[in-house]
Amino acid sequence: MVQPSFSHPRSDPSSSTSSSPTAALDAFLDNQHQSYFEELYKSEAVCLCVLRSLPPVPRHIILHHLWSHQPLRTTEVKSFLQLDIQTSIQDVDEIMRPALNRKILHPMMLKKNKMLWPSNDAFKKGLRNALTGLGTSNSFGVPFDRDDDAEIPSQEVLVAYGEEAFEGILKYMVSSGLGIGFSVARPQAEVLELLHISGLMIDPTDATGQNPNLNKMTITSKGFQFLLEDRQTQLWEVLMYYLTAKEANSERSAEVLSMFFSLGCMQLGQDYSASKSFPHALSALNDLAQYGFIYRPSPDSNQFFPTHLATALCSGDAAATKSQDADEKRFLILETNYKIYAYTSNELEIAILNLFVDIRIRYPNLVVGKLDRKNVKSAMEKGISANQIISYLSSHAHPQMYNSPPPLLHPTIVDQLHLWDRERNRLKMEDTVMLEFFSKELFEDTETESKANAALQLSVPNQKFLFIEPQTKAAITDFVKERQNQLRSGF
Amino acid sequence: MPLDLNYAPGAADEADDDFIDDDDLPGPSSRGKKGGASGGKGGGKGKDPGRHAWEAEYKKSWDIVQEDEKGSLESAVESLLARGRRKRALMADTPLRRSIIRHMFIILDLSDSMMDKDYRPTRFEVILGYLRTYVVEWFDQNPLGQIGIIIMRDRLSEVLVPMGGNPQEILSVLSDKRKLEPSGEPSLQNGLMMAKGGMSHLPTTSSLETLIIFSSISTADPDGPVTIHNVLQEMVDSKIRTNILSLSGEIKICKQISERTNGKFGVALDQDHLKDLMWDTIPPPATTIAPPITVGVRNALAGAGAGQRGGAVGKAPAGDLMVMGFPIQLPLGGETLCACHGLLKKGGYLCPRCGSKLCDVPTDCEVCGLMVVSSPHLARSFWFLFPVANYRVLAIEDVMDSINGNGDTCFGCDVEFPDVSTIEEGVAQVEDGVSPTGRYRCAKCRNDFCADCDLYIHDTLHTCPGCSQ
Amino acid sequence: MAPPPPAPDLSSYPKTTPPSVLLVIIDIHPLSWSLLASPPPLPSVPDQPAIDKAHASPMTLPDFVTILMVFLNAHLASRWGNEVVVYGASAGRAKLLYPPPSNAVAGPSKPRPNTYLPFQLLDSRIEQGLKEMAAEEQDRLANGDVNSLNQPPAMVSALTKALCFINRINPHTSASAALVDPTAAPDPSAPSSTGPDRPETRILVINATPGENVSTSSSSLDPSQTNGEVDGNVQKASGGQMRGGYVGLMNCVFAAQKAKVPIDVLSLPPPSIDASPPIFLQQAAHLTEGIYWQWNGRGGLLQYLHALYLPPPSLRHHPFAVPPQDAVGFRAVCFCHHKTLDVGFVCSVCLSIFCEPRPVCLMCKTRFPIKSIPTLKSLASYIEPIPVPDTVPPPPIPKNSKSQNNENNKKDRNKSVVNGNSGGGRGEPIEID
Repeated sequence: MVQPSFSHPRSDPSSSTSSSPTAALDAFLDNQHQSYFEELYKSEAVCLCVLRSLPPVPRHIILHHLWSHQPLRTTEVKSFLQLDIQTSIQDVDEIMRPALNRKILHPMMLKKNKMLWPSNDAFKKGLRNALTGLGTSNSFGVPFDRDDDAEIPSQEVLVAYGEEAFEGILKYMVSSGLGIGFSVARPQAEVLELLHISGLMIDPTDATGQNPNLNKMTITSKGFQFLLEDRQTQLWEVLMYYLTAKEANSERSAEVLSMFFSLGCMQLGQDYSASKSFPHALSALNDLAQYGFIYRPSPDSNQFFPTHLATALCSGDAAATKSQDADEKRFLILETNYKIYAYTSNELEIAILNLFVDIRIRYPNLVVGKLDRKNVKSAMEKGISANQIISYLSSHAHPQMYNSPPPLLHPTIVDQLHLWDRERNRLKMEDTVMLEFFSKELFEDTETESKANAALQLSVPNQKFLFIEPQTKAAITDFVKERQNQLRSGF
Repeated sequence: MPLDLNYAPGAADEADDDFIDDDDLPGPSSRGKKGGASGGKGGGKGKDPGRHAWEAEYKKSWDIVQEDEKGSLESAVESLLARGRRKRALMADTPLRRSIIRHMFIILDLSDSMMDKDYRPTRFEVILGYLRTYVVEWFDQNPLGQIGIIIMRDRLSEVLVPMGGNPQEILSVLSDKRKLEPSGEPSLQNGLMMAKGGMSHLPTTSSLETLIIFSSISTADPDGPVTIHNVLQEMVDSKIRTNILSLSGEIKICKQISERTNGKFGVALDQDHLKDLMWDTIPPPATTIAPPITVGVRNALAGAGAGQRGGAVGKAPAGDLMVMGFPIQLPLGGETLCACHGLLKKGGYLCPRCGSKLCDVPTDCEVCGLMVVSSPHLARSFWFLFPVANYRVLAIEDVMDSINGNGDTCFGCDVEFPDVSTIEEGVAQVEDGVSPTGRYRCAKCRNDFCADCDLYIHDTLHTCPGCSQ
Repeated sequence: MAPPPPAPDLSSYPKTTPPSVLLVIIDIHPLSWSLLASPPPLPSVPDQPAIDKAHASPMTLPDFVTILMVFLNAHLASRWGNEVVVYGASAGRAKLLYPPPSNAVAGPSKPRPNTYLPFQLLDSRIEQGLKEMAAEEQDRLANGDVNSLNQPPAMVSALTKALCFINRINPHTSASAALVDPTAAPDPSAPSSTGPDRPETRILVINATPGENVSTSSSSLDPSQTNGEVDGNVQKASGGQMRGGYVGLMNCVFAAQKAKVPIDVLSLPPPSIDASPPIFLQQAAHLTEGIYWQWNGRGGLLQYLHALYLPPPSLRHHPFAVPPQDAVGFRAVCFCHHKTLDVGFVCSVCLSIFCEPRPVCLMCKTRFPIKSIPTLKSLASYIEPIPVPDTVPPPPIPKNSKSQNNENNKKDRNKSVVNGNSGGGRGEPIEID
């Protein structure tokens, strides 16, 4: 029944949702220097979150070794991983690569005939303090000193607030692209600026891209791709755009980044004191309020509540399954006849679905539509790829869809999406120069010559047409003229 | 001789016709008959008395499950659970004596009829699938037992897997479907003969059994002086209990065989029922067969066996004490010589009496003859000896009375019980066996448990958390 | 062990692991801990100065709980979604310490700025739970129930509770199987795909009580209680005695095997307090593919906990190595006198185990032939325990091997200081008799 398919979701690495939600963060961290990490690892919250972001194998090796006084030896790693003692150093290095990239371990060195990795003392100390609670950096947030009878917002209120703020931005992006009449409040200017800098939106009338009219921006293909990502990826992307755009200065950048991690380790429903928790990053904290990461009872208050957007930052998939919106996120049922049933009433999700689904029926809590060629292709023209659609569909699959045998999405549909994608790529536009010949000899000689110089794009021997790369035009015409003369003189 | 080589399928058809004639419904087809019933008799007689099973409306499995008024399936689920509970209540008084060392041949009919599609996708696939889980479950509950498999096809029988105690081996054979392609007709006689031959050397203190899964409605047995009745007599003599499961219908000879050998005969109504019937044969049978004649279990009583045999014939003791040794398992370190093969091997077990190394247990020590058994093997069967008493359903009043005695949480999994005060009185229609309060109380330790734990403790764990304090 | 391939296959390493639930059963029997707090001096190991240097370190319950909490925090830290469940097993009773029932008052009101809140909740709740349990013990003593202290810790009860808990969060046994379509899952070995991520579970038993605790001693106290209840029926009374001990433990082991839950065992009493390991806990660990390790009394517990017990089951065996396990004695307990046996007499009908030949089976009432008794007795007289050779395998890498029988140890001896006081490696042999 399962036919050999080129796009089987298991065998095709590109379609698998292998990219982690923190991809943007990882890319950022991978490019930082030792000193940057030294600064970061002063915060216990960062140590904890960085540890958790490692792949399981290096993560457990680090934990295995956490309480030892000695540097980590390669032989230890080899024996723990049941590797042959002859395994090359490079291979072992490769396994520990993520830890090396995060500067948790210093590069390998030789000491008394033993290869070993000295560990980063700041990280080790930070992690130990995180586990024992003996740190001093207040990185898990200083609670706000409030009166006991003061009214605090419930968790539901905080979630609703965060959702509204962030979805407002997303809705604004969608509506700019589709012209659907949402009643969307325009986000604040700083947010729009960031959207522009990140390339998620542009002003089409502004050719240079230097001083756009922030009120007339439309979404780009990058923006469409952004919409299809899952929530955590979007959040980290936004934060990283913010970090690179606003805090180019590296010293402050580390502090702001460590604040992101601290926010991720905070507790939903608890209030914290802004000035005591982040004395050096207050302005950044204020900016985050615009995206819905934190809630403040009054704009200039020192008290703030992290919303679920913030507290779920570092929690991987775990928080998603815990928070109540996990079930709301899984609303799609996709049938093999391309019909889609979406149990949602969320305007934003419906608008996103509308990007590639022909929506036929709308009920208060249910949308029925169909994946068809026209809509999918129009989505692809906007820059959305088949893989993105597939990963969107699978990450939003209804729990009911897990009850049928894997794969989650039926191969028929996955294959069809890939076919549509390829169809779009069937025509490739290239500049060319066409030469028309009347003499067969001249045609053949020019053909071999241009082939030899990798200038040939296409030859049509029947009609004696040659198509060559434009930049080689001069050289080839020279050759043709010369050859022509030779041929003529030959007569 | 009810079945011989002249047997032809037509005969069965005639028999069926006869049967219908007895019912005074001579019509050529069921359609005519139906018309007669509805038109001629009118409303006078009602529908049911004249109806045959095949005329009844097809019962859809999903109709059985009823949603309650809130559209939830909870009550349906609960009643399913209650069914299991009642079944267990019946089991509670089963005899204590059970044969724990079992030898069983599974005789599998691989005739053409196995390709019938009344079970989806085919009988063959369904049986094969069930057999795989069956074998695992069987060895789980009978770790000292052994299973062999015999197949019957093309009027021949063949030992597919010889008697052995390794489920993996059996599973690997069962997973190879190409070797098991059904064909031809089965021969019950040949199958039984082969099973009997395969068990003739085994001591009768262990329980000898066969499980026949019979799909055909006939058996094609060899012509000659020996008939299936002779074979049956031999089976009875050698006390081989024969359970027969028919997929098609009740067959006289099959029923006769199982009745005379103290086995069970069952006809599967549908897939669920088939599974139930198969799984019924997993728990060790109660020893009701006449006590065995010989003693001497394996060669455990090395010295005593010879002297014993003569005197014991008359008295026929049901069992005897066996000397067993509990070994020490060596870690997978260096290689040492084993006593059983004389080869260098890693790991292994040390005989507790003579200290020689054995490759595998259970076995008889090659050096001192002690029966070496790993104690967990024995312990698997202990739950028969120390069953957990059934828990009592707690009514609302009971909970009200003793509200202070027990906490608000299940003693097993510490889940919270629903608040008694919020439970409505009107849930009387709940089937008996389901507690309206969600509490079940152990009679011994007087602790309360939730429904999930009740099932888990009785079905799998076999130890009451409260009583073990 | 086949030689591993020269180049590690990076792609075979798991990219993610399922969330992991760790159920810890901690033995807080007061008598055991008083023994641990004042251990006898360790025998010196003159040929291994590295080990000898580490002195016997007394271990008190508060000290140990501190270490345990760090370990539990590390478990929580190693993955989002990891959870911890803690049971306390005291003399004759077991109790859930963490998580607290949902209606309990929330822990400390103020989060501490330097502690991750989940860690803080876990730690304070365990501390509180332990104090409550200790107070209950105190009450029992004050009420003159001195006898209760002589009961062994209720390991079996705690194990059954832990298994019930696992069954609740991961129901894959018959109870739920009855509700799904029987034909849908004819092959139980196939992974059921009911959800995206099913948590994996494991149990860690921390034993502090010397001796083969779970099995034998429970018998001597019970008869008075059970006999009264079960109207003097000898057969059932003996059932009651056994239930808390050997049989119960074995039943737990089989249930755990079925649910594929490894039972890890950490045995604290060092050899100087108790020469014989808790063989039944060792059997449990062996049968469920858990890790068994006995502390050598020389400190280093924090390191050992992290190194041995932290990797979740999905990473054990592949790619991580598990510590080499010692020889396991598959001994059993007799039903009549609750002795631990090397060789026993087994009823051929019901498989009850007895330590001496008897004319009638206690359990199933089968009469055994009288004539065979003298023969059996004579057989029994031969039985004497044999000395078991030292059977510990050399560890795969001789980095810190401490095997006493390791001849070429001279070279390694100087390098084998691992972590100051952490002392003896995991390869240290455990005496079997």
